[in-house]
Amino acid sequence: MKKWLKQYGIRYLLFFVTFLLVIVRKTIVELSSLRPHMQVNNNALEWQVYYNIAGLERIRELFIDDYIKIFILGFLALHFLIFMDERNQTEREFLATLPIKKKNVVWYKILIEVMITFLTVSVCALIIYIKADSFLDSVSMQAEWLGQSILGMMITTISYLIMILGAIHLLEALVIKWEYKLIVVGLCAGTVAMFMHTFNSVLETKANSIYHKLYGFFNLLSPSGCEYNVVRYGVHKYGCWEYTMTPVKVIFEGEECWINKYFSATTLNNYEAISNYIWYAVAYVAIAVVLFGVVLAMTKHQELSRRDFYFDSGSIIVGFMIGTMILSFLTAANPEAWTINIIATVIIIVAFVYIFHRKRIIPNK
Amino acid sequence: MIKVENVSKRYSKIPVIEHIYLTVSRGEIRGLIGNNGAGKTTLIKCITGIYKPDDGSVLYDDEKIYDNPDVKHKVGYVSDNCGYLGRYSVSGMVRLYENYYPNFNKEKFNTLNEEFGLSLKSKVKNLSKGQKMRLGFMLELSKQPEYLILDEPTSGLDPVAKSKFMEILVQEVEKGNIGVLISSHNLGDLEKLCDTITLIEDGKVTNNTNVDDLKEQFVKLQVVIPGGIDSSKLNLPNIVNVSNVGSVYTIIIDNYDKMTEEWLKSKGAELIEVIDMGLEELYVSSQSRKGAEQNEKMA
Repeated sequence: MKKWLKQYGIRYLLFFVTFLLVIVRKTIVELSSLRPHMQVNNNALEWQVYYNIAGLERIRELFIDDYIKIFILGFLALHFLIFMDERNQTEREFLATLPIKKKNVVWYKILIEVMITFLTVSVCALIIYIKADSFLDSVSMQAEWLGQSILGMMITTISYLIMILGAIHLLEALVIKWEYKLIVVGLCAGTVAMFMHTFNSVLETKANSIYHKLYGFFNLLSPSGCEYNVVRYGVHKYGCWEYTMTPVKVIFEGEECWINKYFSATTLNNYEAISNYIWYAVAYVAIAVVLFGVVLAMTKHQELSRRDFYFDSGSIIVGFMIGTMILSFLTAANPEAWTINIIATVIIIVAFVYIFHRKRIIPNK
Repeated sequence: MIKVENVSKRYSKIPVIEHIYLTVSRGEIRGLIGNNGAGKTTLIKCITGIYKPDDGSVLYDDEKIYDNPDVKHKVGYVSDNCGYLGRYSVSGMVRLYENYYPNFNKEKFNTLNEEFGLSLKSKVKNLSKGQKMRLGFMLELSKQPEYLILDEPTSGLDPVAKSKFMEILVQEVEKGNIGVLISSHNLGDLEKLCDTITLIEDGKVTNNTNVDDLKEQFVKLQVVIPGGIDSSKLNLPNIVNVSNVGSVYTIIIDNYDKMTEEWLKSKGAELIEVIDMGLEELYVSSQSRKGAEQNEKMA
């Protein structure tokens, strides 16, 4: 590992420092928007407590939305940096002559990226805790569950991001060419986003239900327990829902208060109980382990004499992904035209696979 | 010893090399000759562990090279384009080699660089082809390898650099007891360097022999036939090539023997003299003979 780190360590370190600065800045800027709600009328003190706690919901959005996006973009940028050494066939072949096992290289990359994820999210969680705690102090409030909830979010987010890393590595392991690797991973991110969006709108149209376990699982919504606590009403285009009430305890000016009203910080408070999220975290890590295992097993069979993809299945998987994205676009535009959308998508997949499956033409053969 | 045993490699199920056997011992220089597209580079990439053979094995002192760092430590490889990592400077490449190869001798690199004169600050991508070959040669030799695989090492080198390259290579082989495999279209150079030759055609080894044996098989004769004779009358099956200037004929013959000599005399030959033939001429003769045989079969 020492030799490999000597070659790539500086790039990882530079990336880590830059990435940490970007993500910490984002965290601080977002949390600076927390404004204390002070009511003059004593009768409205209950609302003061409610609004101040509700403002903390931004923390959950940071974890499940902003961090995920920044991390995916960050990993793309990092891999762009790392794969700079493998831009053409000559460079790839030169790297193949170096005395280092292919499997070890992949293993080191995974290890170092998991460490970066862990460290970055932990640092952010710490900053969030300090900022949120000082915000509550400024409005004479304390929430005993805050630290526990932030820890829960941190664990879930780290495990979710490790799963995303597994998916990125899996896709990259299929592709030989540097430029294709990045395109494929970018496509994957687009495909997942579009798929989720369409899944949502199609479910809305077809199944009259917004939340779904699978959708929630892959969108990092389930661990907060929101889909279990939803009761849907058909009164709004996008539906409206309310949460099953879980009273939340806070201390306001030294006195214990129980908030029983609907308020959006319920999902943040849900992370207080380990049992609410731990199985999701375990599932994310388990999926990541399987993905990493597959990636490591694949490296054994990656061979540079192939043209675009290391494996015949590579073009089919990428073709399927592109097809899914196109299907998502088409379906988002016209959810009712399922049949035509699917036929068009199948044609596109077949064309893609054909283009990438052509045999290498060898002179004199 | 490098042992290539029954190696086959296919690109998308199309065979490129098939059932290749060859060996390179330490201290031996083996040449690899073949037409364009014969499979030399593919074979070399299998031998250097870049490609995994579909069948057979490539062993260095009985250990497989593919994905085996222990073996890769002792193998030097100068590829036909020596691209290395384009973004790196020459000194960056030296640092990379120092990092990966514990035996890398920087002093040796600097001594070689006094001969070849590359600027350490130059980026690899900005070097000319010849300069890249020099860099490759210097880096791989400074690794102090036990085996050296060279793919078209003299292409792009100017005559002075080429002569230095050959001189240094021979010295290193003698000094370090290195086993060398060289693929080259420059048969004149190979003739000077190689002890043994492997001929590869359409992905198959057609001849695995030493240079002297090959020279014994084909003989070049200078024959004087007073008054001259129509070249087409010199048509023995083992005559590969005939050319003449007046009554002086140059004939290349496969397996020259007493009977052929008698036959030539019967055609009026008065002076028959065996003259030296280079490897290039030898190779061209063997190829044209094969071509003629194929044409006959087709006819």
